[in-house]
Amino acid sequence: MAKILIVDDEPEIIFLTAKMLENEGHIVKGVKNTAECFLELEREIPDLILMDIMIPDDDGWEACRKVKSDDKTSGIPVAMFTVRSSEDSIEKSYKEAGADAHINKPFYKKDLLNTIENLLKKKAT
Amino acid sequence: MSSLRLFHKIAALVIIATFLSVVLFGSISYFIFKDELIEARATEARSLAVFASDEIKNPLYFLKYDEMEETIKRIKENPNVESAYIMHADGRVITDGTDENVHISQIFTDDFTRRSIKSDDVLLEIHGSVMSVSSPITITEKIGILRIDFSLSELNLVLSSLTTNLGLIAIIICAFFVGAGFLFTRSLLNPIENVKNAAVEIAGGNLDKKIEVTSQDEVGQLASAFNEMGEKLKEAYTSLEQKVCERTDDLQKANLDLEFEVEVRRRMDHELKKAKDELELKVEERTHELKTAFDSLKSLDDLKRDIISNVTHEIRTPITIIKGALEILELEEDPEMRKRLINTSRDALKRQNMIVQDLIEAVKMQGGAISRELALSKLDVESILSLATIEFKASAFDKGIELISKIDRDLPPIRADQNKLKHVLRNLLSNAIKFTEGGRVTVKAKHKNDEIEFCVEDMGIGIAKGVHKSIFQPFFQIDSSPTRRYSGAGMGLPIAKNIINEHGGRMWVESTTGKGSRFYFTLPIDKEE
Repeated sequence: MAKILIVDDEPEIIFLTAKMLENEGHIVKGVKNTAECFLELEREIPDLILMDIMIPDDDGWEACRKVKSDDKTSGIPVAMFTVRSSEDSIEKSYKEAGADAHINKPFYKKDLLNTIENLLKKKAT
Repeated sequence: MSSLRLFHKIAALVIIATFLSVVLFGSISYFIFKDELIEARATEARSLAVFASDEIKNPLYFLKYDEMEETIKRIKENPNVESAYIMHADGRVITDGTDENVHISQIFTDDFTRRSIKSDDVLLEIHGSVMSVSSPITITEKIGILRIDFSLSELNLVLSSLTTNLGLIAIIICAFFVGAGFLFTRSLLNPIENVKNAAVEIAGGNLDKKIEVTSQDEVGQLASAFNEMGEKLKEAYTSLEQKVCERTDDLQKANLDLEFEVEVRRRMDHELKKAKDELELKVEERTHELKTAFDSLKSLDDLKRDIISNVTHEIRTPITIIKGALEILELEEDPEMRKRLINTSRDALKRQNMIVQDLIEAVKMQGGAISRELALSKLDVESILSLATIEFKASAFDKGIELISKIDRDLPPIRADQNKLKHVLRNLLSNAIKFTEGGRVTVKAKHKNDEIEFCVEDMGIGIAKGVHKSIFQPFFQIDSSPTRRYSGAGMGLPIAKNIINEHGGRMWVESTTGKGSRFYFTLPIDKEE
């Protein structure tokens, strides 16, 4: 139903997460760093972005900020997708990076699917 | 005036006083005397004139010239009489006493005569030094005038001699008083002079000077008072001197004390300054040390945070994979996909295991537990190396790497824990192969001093000089975060190094980025014979 972009440096993560989402009927594309992410954004605007924070020599939060500050992309809901589960990290995602959601790894499938659904519903309105 | 001495003042006073009083007295006496004298003469003259005019009455009436002449002559015998005249009532002179018997009919034209003509009284007037008296000659009426002129020169002489005498007296009196005054002044002023001199002497420093008290009057009292004052002064001065001496002594003592104190203070200041300088130096050192420590602490802190993030990531990622795979597996029906999911999970599990293993080793290393359990034995170098390399022949071949040994001949045996040594070699060889794409990996060993020096050389990506030390630290990753290619928790090298150190050897690396690496370690030779 929706086009989802996953940004993560672990191929296995992309593979599994994509499989889950494709089983729900979404179309998924995966890139392994933020540079590739922005290249992809030039090509096509997705309906949602799942952004990993801890990519080596990269900064997921900064990328989220950039997406939110660019008029072309600011409408895309961004969910931070990460092992960093501390309160500080969650706060940073929302307050500083401007993310719309923060999903902790490891995650339950149903939690992931619910969050994505909510974000897509919100976007639709 | 004030500069004149007292004596002069008194002398002047005396002289002036005396002079004035004498003059006054003299003048008054003189004039009184003169008046009296003249009065006397005048009375005499009048009487004579009256008497004579009486006598002349008859002769004049009967014009008996001889008798009249006689009378005039007699009158003129008086030495004081200058001239005498009998005149008619109208002023014509009948006779003037000279023998010429001249009937002088001249009329005297002076005022006195005129007045006498007019008057019926006896007139007396003085003109210059002549006393003129005129008496009317009367029988029943005035028939003539008798005029006598007396000379006052004798009188004047008397008066002048009186004046002279008076003058002399005045002078004598003056002199007397001056003399007396002088003596008096002297007697009065001497004591005063003495007091003055004595005062000067006392002022000059001679405090014992005393004045002789010679009288009970005010001067004497002054002298006594002066002496008393001198006494008191002396007392005061003496006691003051004493006090000054005492004070001076005190001050000197205090001064010495002060000097001493000052010296002490000075030394203290010096010491203080030295101490302060030293302290400053120390403070600088400490600050520097602290700064260095802080910096390293900070970087340690950062490192810790990175490590923790890394480890967290390392642990959670495989779990995420396994979890995801299982959830998909639950509903997956395609057997190919199922197989893939299961394999993925298995690999993730292996990965997880390695990390957990490394973490356990790390914990053990922290506690020092690893080091106590060396099972040492005599080992042959060649055999142990060939055992290790055999394990890796296959994976090396898979990557197109040539794995060879270059071991010196006749190496003495070493003393080591076989298993631990195998672990070290395994780690080094797996690293060498892992970080190399093609080329050659060489294992070397040679005899150096009392040790065997081992080397694992590769032609891989090399290690930057800056991290040669860091790679032996726990959790250090070549690229600070795991990628698919170089996974591991970063514990291999630290553990290997630890093992070698516990054997009494050393481990180090020689390498540059892009030019391969050479990992060295040494082990002691077995010394037991």
